[in-house]
Amino acid sequence: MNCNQVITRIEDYCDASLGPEDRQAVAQHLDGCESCYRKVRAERRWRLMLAEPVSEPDSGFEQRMLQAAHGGGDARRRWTTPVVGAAMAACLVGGLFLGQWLPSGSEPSGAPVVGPVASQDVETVNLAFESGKALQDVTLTLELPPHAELASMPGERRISWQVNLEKGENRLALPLRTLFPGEGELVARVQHGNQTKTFRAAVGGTQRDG
Amino acid sequence: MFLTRSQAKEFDRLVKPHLRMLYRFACRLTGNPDDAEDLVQEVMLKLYPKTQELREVEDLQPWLNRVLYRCFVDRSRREKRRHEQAFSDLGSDEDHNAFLDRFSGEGLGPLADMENDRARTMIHSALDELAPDQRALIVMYDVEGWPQDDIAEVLDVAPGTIKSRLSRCRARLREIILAKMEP
Ligand SMILES: [Zn+2]
Repeated sequence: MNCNQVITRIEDYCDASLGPEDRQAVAQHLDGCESCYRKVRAERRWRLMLAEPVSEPDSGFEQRMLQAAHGGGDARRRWTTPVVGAAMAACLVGGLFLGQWLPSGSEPSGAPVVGPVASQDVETVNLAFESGKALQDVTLTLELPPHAELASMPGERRISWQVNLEKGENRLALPLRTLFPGEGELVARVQHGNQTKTFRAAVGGTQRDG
Repeated sequence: MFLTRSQAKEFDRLVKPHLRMLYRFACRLTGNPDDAEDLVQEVMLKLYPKTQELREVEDLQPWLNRVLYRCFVDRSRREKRRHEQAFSDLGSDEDHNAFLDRFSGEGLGPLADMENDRARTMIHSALDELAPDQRALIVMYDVEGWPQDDIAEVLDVAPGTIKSRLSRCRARLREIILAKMEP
């Protein structure tokens, strides 16, 4: 094998993906050719430099990530800022009263927990409410204003889910992405049997928790 | 989108064991810990409503990597940090040869044996200039050493195409590095 043939095989040689015969031929050539040997070392050198050690996240990392998923938004900013109230006021949805949407006392009731927090351009609105008993086949429909979409369902303006409610706390997390500055209305319809409740909330555009 | 308390617990159980691995991949892709954590967080937001779907995935690790990769590509596109650059189809052997001569670190030229720190910085800034999909491929293969099948799943391409794609990405990367080495 000559130098040119070796050079065309350097990449595969360093990947250890040459067949046994080629591999041996290259190795033999390298034994006697200082110039090609240097090239192989250069190939290995630059590849090695690609790999820098990666820093490990701190011990609270997992908790923060799961909390962000549950509570919606940026867990890191969420609890460290003293102006959580202001942050919430600046956020997307002021409050969707999903609680008290059915008249009877045995049906879901209770105050909603609204925890919207900004994270990059995705702002998650988190709704939680108590249900007095388990309910099957509740239909939840969301209609989004033109300037927002669900991060997990880009382009969808109207989304419906068939959900079951557990007795006790139920949560609804809405990761909303603001596509462009604007104002609009988010409409949520909750339907169980022949009962329907409609909720509307203003969805602002661009305000962020610095 | 709508999770009961038990579903929320299920989400934690499924995802938690993979979080550090996701962070590591995110670090490699974004190049810094803050962006990495933001990226993982975005993935969590995206997946939380899909807990049911997660439960049905046989091997979560590559599946999660794929979601993270998609988020990374989307994000890069949105930020327009990396602009698509047309690059020569396949770097020629001559180019490769020229690169190796300049990068040999054994006194072939004034820049050849630049000290390691400078060379490393140059390589990483070159890596940052690659298109997101190219960067991801280099990270997965050359840096993390993942099996080709796993990489193919993340990129959603046929496993048989990985090597040729890789060759192109490396050629492009060398091209950028060489340009940086020009005096
Ligand atoms: Zn030779």
